[in-house]
Amino acid sequence: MIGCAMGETIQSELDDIEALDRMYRARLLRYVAYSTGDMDLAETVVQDCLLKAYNGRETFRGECSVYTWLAHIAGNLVRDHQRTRKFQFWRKVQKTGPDLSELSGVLPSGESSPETQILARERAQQVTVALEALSEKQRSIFVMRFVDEMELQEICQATGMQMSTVKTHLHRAVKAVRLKVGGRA
Amino acid sequence: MMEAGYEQKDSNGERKDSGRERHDNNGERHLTDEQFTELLMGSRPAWVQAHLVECAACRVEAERVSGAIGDFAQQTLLWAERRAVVRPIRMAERQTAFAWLLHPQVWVAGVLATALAVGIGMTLHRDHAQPVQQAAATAQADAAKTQAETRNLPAGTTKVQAEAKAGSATLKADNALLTAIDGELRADETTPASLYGLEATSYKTGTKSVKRTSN
Repeated sequence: MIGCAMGETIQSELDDIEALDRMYRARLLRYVAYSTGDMDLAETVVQDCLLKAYNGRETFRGECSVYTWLAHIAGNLVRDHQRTRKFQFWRKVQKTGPDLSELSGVLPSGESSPETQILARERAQQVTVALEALSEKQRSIFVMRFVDEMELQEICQATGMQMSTVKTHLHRAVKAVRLKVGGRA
Repeated sequence: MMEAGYEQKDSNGERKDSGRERHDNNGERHLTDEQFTELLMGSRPAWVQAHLVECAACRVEAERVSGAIGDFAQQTLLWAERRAVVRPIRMAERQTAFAWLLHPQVWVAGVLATALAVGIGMTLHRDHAQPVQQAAATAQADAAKTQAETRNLPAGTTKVQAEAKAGSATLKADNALLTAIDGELRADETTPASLYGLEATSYKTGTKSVKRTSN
């Protein structure tokens, strides 16, 4: 558990479960969904994560950001779920990764032209495909760094990994993405 | 493209010996994988910026990869926000289902109820054991009294008569003890009639009484 000195702002944030849900659900959902490649698992994990964080809010002492703490909890929950035989069974039966067609249907706001939007969608899809070929740890760290824009130190706190390990995973993930996007890696 | 050991510059623009240089087929230098990752993470020392100005290949690649990652991040965010809105919040349900377990009063009440149940059980057990113990004590007292009387028989009483009297007293005491035990066993038996208060004054349960007839 990441230790922490609780500030009043953070305390009030954690005391309101609806605010917690409103602020972090989407971000956590994205992190878990694109780390695990399993949408149903992401829904369950995010739900449990927010509930667990709310119930255990007194253990949070503010030494890291709330999101880092939540990501840490979510990571542990993902591991717990993956250990269960039930998960192993259903994983074989039904692979429910984030739906690319659903994702590609989401377009940015109408500030850019349709052509630009289509190009953006294709590039995003290339990154998604590249991530699917990575290990779960590599995906998870890539999402934390480049999508959630977490600092390396925060990633270390959230994953419990050494800095060198985090950097190694990140390098490999970036290399795979470069290769897919058309770089020289 | 090939890699070779070379001197790179740190964030202060000074050269250091770690890292490997990447060359293309024309022998031109390019950023290594590690340097490229650092660049994507926002680390842009002066020498990297200078390199990007000079090297169009690295500049184009950096823009393309960072652009793709940016598009990916934006679209995943939009997707997650939409998904989070579409999915109903079930926090209240989950909270109310198990909320009662989180109250310390529940645990205190549980402990108290358990202690009360154990206390009542022990009390009943003790009260239940008393009649048999009392009967046993009475029987032992009777036997002791008879033996004392036997020792104090008047002169002229034969040894056989004395032993017969002592044996009779022991038998009487044993029978009293067995009767007490039998009574307790009958009291423990619950019949359908007794459950509904329909039992007559002396309901025969059919339990056979044990009676000792000889030594």
